[in-house]
Amino acid sequence: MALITTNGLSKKYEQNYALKDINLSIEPGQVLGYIGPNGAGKSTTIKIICGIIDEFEGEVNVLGMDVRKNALDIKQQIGYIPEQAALYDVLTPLEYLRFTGKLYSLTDEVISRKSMELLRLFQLQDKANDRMNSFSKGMKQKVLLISGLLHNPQIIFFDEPLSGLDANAVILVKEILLQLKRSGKTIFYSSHIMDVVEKISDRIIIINAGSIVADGTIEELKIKAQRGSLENIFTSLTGDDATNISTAAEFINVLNN
Amino acid sequence: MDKFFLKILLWFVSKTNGNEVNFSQLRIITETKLLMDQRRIPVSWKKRQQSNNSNSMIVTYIIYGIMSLFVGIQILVLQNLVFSMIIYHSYLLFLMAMTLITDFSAVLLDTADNHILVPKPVNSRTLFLSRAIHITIYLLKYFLIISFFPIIFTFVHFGLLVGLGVIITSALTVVFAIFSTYILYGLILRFGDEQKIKDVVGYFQIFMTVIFFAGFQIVPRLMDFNENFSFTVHTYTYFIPAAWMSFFLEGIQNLRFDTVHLIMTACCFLIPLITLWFMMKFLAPSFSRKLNALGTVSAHHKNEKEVKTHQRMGISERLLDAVCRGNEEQAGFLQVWKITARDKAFKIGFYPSIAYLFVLLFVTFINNKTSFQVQMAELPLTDKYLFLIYMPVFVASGALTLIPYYENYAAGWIYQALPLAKPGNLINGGLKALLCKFFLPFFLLMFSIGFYVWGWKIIDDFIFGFCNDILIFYIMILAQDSYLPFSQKPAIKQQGGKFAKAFIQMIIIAALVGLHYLALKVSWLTAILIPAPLILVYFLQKKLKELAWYKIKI
Repeated sequence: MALITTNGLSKKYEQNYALKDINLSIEPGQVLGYIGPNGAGKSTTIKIICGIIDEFEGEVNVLGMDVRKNALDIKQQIGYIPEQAALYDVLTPLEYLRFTGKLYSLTDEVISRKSMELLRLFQLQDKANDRMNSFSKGMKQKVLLISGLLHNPQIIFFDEPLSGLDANAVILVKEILLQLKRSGKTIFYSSHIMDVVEKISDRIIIINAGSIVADGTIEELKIKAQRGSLENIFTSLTGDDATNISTAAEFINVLNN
Repeated sequence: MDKFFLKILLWFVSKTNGNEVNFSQLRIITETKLLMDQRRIPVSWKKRQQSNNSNSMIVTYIIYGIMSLFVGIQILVLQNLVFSMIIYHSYLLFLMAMTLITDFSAVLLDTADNHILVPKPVNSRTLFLSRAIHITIYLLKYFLIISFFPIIFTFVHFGLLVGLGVIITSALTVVFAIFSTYILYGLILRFGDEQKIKDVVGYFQIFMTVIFFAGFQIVPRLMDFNENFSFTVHTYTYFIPAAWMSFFLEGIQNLRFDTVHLIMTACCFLIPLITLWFMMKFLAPSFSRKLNALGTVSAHHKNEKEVKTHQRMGISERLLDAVCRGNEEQAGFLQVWKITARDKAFKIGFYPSIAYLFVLLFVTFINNKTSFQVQMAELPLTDKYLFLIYMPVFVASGALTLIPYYENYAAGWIYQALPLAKPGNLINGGLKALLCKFFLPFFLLMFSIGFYVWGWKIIDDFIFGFCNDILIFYIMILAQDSYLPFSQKPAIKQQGGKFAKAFIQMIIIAALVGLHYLALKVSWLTAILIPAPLILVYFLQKKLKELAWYKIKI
């Protein structure tokens, strides 16, 4: 049985459709790569499935529950890691993790043990009691990542999780994603970084201007688009190779004149 | 104190809200919010220096406590109950509304909750109550500090009945303050986005700063403390919340309930209670809904404004060629002109000083010794136009001290990456922008006033004064440490060990103004002296333009 299903999911902002008739079905343990250009509707899809945006058209079910009626129960069992490092940065990492951990009904003992261990793995143990307003974007992103996974959710939504991370942290997060996949977690992964999407995803969906333009495994997409890499497939479906080439040429031209 | 209030409120919530609320979540959310409040740097009346000092809230409480003491003392000093209570309730209403709008806006309008709390399994009732408890504790603390002395002194001076009455009227005044805040925010949210709200709050901070400063300076001048205070009720009095409260208190003190007192008493109770009901029923839920929507709307889906295909030539571009020589100067000019128009921190720091100019004018030219008409008639016989000449310097010099500082100061890396041979040119361009934008308009305005009052005889003084003013700016900029515009962290604004420099600078400025004052004694002297400051300006400008990189503090 599918863990996540959407049926005719649409979302309108004023007169414009941000999402149009999105139909998804994600099986347990599946890693879905959800890619698309800026403003395509990736974050909106994730926010609706996670119960953050509650005004939309169509049906959305997560873990067999209707997201409109059971948003709280769904939120309890999922993890959501947003793109921007939105956290209360006047708190220390330990204070923040205690705060979010308690909202997931974890005990103080579990929160404290897991927090210290996870901070250590991200080499933040020395900063555990420093206020985060002095942290770099990458450091905040690490804390955000921990806070989204602390309650060991069944389904995890990543919205550009590698944004702002340093090279070592990117490698570590990639490895964490692979390990999460191996441990049977269902992952909804939205990103611009194609090689990671290609590496970890069982299935890839490309969304453009609010609509799904491709859906399948990387092999299926390659056959369909007759292109070698995910980046090429992506460009062919969401942009135009020829336009990019001519824009680049024009750019150089303007520089030279 | 937070924990005490939290305990009481949670107990109250537990008795009134059954299964709908998750108490463990409610506690951790409110505890965390209160902890963050303690670490938040208050905005108060003006933007303060950023510091890591977690005691900044305590400093604010102490300041409010001192003000509370002063307002309390007036209750003991003034003999008229209505008058003293109008002052107290106005002060309470003003301060609570100001605190809510300026300081607490950072909390009320924080859309981080949309990203942090909304994705968590927290139900809407718990979220709503956490917000309500947080605001209540915040208000309770400020209410206690602001009202402590006035309430105690009311008990001492007017007795138990009025003392108990003033507790009730104070609470009703707070309700009114919250209502005003909701109305303001509601209006802004109706017409603007998150950025607009922040901008409006910024302007409101400026407005409040000015009102505060102006109030302290102007109100005492408008009062005659020698006469007995007797309060005449006009039609507009019925529209003043502080008057409703005061007349109610007078009514219970003298057990007098004539038509005026009955109307005021009815207003005192009914209007705040109606506004409270209106707030709970309509304003608060609608405000919450609008606030929640702020963070979720994607930037890409907002109505896209049409891109301007051609830029209208602004004043800065028109002035550029006239006042600046060379690209570096022009770059500095445009940079300072544009950023000072857009940087909120600069606006909050500087704009109040524009209003102070008018307050200073009022304070200088108006006193309560003789009537306004007599003072105006005698003005042309005085030399007070000297104030008009030098007052604009104080306005623009405020901007000069703010220019090096910028929130995103790291953007200053660009100076070092650019092939900038003489950074002094850039500073000079920036100074010229300040002079054109923040000095010249006010100088011309002062000249118009001066010309209207004194006529042609002051022309030479204004020309000499203008040159002197420019000279003062060059002295100031060269006497200070040299910084490139918008390249310094605001936190390091406080600089120790600069006293001697500032003192010498003050002496030079005082000498220049003093010289002008002495020159007034000989009718032809000012006109003869005009070239002197001009020559000095020429040399000082040259010195500034030649400023070497090693002299610039990065």
